[in-house]
Amino acid sequence: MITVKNLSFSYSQLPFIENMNFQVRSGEIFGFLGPSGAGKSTLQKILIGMLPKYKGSVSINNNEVRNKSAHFYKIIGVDFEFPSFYEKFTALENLKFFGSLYDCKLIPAEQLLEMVGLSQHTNKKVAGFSKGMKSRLNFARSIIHQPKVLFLDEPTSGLDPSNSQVMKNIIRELKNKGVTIILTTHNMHDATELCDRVAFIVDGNIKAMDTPRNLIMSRRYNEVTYSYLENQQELNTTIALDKISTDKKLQSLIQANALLSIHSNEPTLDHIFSEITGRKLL
Amino acid sequence: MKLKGLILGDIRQQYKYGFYALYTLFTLVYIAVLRILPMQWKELCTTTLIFSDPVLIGLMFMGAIILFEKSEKVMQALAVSPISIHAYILSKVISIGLISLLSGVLIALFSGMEHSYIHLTVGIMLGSALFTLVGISLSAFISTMNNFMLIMVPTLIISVAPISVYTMGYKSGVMLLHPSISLIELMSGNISVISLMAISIWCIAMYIFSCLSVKKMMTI
Repeated sequence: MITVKNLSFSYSQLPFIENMNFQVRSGEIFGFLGPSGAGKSTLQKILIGMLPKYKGSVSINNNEVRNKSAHFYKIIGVDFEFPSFYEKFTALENLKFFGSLYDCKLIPAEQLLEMVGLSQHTNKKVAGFSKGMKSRLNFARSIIHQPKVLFLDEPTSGLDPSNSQVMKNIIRELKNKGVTIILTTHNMHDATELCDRVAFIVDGNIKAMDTPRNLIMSRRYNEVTYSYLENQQELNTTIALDKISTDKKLQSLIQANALLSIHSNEPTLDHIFSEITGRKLL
Repeated sequence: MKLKGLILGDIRQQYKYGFYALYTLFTLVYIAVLRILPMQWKELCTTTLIFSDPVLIGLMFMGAIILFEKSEKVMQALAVSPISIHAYILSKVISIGLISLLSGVLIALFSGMEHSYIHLTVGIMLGSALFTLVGISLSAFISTMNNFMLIMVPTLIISVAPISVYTMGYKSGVMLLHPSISLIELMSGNISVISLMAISIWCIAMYIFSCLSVKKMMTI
């Protein structure tokens, strides 16, 4: 669905994205993860055709992006990080306006507003919306024309946990319908929950690319922490998961049913990112 | 279909930002002023007034309209929709042209003067289109309202100043190459090949600049 070969791009004399290669399969949720200024947004702008002066090849549905026609924007949808609306229009007026720019089958605006939990605010001006409401409306705008490829930039930013979960459920439903989704984020929890594969981007380069699970398991430092009482004091011990069968203390506590708690400490994608790239996600 | 959607969106935006209310008020005030003017001033004043306001509306307000679209990030949403740069520009020209035409024709109609409405209508439409295109061309270089005023005011002076020289009696044929002079002549019912050619060439040139300007705004 998306093929990027030897992609390089620069805003000045200095290279910004260098020799990048990756493929995204149809129906996959693919995450771009990286700190601010890593090149994620630039990469997304290249993929959506807003920066056509790149070197190498970027194709979506076998069409080179730099040679895009108007049809290109019928098959892609873009949910920008910041809301893009006429503030003096109501939610419904905005969706109907953006829908009128397409000559394909649309999802009815009222249905979209219901889907993202804004049906109570249909006739309210967008200027009066909270950040989270604007974010949900932005998402609704990006899918009104039923795109085959959807670009999401921090789609859960500014959302409360409940609405964030609603949004993630819609994203999963879209994936189940065969939509290819590119998720740009620095939220590792979203990436772990949603993405089939992720790419760590730092300084315009892909430092690692795999499924979140494989990335986590590849570091092989899964640990187990258990706690127990000794001399009226609660003690904690942490051991490597692969040493569990040789830990005499743990075995004796199990035999005596004297464990207070036991849990595994898999590294998070955050830890893996820091370990591989030497950078923190900010 | 897409152009129709864009035009309706632009008209709605202009309505909600009060352009229609403002121009209803301006039109009523202009009509009232023109009706009390002595007959010998009326013809010149009507044409000059229609030119200096309804026709120039695109130049004066396009910066504000596009600044709103930039600050509300509507421009980036439009950039990833299947509309063409041409449709975007045409929509602005047609929607602003509608206000120019309604206001200009109503002023002429109720000013108490006889007019050649065909010449007047064609002049208002061409003039409004030309100055809307100038406004769009300038918008690529502005990011704040102060910025726009700094660019718009000199452009306005260059656009309007030669009219006073011309109306005071300096009627050299070369002056018809200035689009404002050609438009005033056309709106007054004096049609010539030179003025029509001058307006057409200016419109084509400004259309090309507008395309470059919108392309710049939509790719950054």
